[in-house]
Amino acid sequence: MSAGDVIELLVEPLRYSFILRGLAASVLVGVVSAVVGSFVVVRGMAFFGDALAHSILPGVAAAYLVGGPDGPLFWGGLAAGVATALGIGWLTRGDHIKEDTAIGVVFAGTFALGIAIISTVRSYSADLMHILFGNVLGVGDDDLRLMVAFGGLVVIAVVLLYKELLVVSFDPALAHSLRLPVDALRLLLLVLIAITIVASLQTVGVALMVAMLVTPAATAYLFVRRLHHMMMLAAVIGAFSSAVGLYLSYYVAVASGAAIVLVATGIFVLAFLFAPGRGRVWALVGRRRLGRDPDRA
Amino acid sequence: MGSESGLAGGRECTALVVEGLSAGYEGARNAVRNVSFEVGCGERVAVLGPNGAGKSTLFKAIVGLIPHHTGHISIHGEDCRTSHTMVGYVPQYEEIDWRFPVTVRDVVMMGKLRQLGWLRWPGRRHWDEVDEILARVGMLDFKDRQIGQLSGGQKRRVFIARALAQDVDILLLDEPFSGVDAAAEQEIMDVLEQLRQDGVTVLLATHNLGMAATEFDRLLILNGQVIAYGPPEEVFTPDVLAETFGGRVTLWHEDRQVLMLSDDACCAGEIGGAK
Ligand SMILES: Nc1ncnc2c1ncn2[C@@H]1O[C@H](COP(=O)(O)OP(=O)(O)O)[C@@H](O)[C@H]1O
Ligand SMILES: [Mg+2]
Repeated sequence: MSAGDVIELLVEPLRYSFILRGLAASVLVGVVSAVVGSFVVVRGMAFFGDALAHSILPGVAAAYLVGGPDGPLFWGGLAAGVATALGIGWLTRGDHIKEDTAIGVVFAGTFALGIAIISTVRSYSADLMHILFGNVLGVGDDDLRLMVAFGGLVVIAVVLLYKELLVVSFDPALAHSLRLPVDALRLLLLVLIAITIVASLQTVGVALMVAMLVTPAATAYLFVRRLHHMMMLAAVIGAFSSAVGLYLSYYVAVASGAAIVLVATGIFVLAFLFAPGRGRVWALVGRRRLGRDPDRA
Repeated sequence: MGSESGLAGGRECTALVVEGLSAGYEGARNAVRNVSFEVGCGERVAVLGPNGAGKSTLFKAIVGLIPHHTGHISIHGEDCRTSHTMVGYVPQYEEIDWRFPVTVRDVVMMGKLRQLGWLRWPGRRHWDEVDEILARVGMLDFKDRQIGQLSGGQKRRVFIARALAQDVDILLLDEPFSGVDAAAEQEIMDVLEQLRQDGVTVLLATHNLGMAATEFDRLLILNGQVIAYGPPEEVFTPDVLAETFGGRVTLWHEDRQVLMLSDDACCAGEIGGAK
């Protein structure tokens, strides 16, 4: 296959404007969720991310009830996501309830509420499928504008408050002793995750959202020593997975959300096995060759 | 900042006053009860007590991490709620996520966060200052290591460096000697010696009775409440030790030396000068 053929293969789908928009949307989502997802990974909040993604369903469903598939789904989801993020943040402030328990309760309850609302509409199944699994080729110009605006907002917030969010994540005790507004920063992070999820809704959908948050960041974690490097590398991996996944879905005819997540997962598995220094394969080979524990000085 | 600095000049002053403090958690509201003591500027105090005695709780209350419902803490004469940015805290080993993607330099830079102010990223000058501090604790060669890839003693020194970057004048160290060998212990003590020269007041929780007796000005023996507080030779009496540690510590008096043995072989040590 010549270089020309490859270019032809890459350019051909872009003649359709809906594919071009879908590509832009999914690359954007790949970048933004990787940046926010780096916090999700280092703070061990994968379950929270998954739960939050599901809990936006009632908001989306209510908006759907009002306006059908073209209703204010984005805003409904945003309201529900932010409300749930704040709710879980508030529930877990003291030591009354363990965090994963609170998340489990809120997550299942809100998801059920969402399904209940949608199921009152007679012909709901196709639209429910889109909400659950994404519909990246249905992204319109207005949708894309909203995604750019909110995705940009999230990235700007992370860049401007990077060192504060880092300290709050790494060592809340230090954050307290520096008298940072620890609770406000923690809630802000939850809200940023919520906004990211809602902005990503159309590409991978509710069910696979957690993969966009966690998988590229977890991959990047295997290569770097510093959080902001992790974010940058995760963003590249997220964007790459999104683009490759979308092309795959065009040529192989599989669901785009699933294709994107599968590419990201494949990259993670490769990195897990072969990452320099930390890859499992090198660890096995090295142990055999050296015959001693590599961690010992 | 406190009006009485009195550090380098050696003028008498009080760094920390704790009065009738009770503090704790949901479910263990009085993990420490009615704790009172005073620490002079530049003094070095070892906080001793069995596991669960409330050493960490006391430190967390002083640093403002957990609220105290009764009593009063003042730092250089100000209530701790208004002045606790002057207190540095080196948490217990288990409270840090050592796999977190931060380097030695990143951790020390966290101490400068207040100086940097909101919305700003550190510049060249700030990194140079961090490197200077790392040189003081002998960690400059490791500045780009991820923090998990350090020995126990090195990890402790990074967190002490962070407190230096915070420019604190009271430093609380929660069990810095647990799980480190004698050489690392000595490295940590060397850094504390530098802090003493800077006039920094140090409170340090430890199980190492021998070290506490020889290297510290005062001992605070804690078991929920204060069992004893004072210089080592006054505090280390058989009664106090029995009350705090049960039968696990024994004293042998021999001439003018006191030999103290505990059932952990690590903590045997000698106290000089018992009269
Ligand atoms: N986060 C917490 N929630 C509830 N109780 C706690 C918590 N941390 C410690 N405690 C309790 O407070 C008491 C004092 O604990 P701590 O200050 O950690 O002791 P030490 O540091 O001396 O080992 C213990 O009885 C412990 O069970
Ligand atoms: Mg403790």
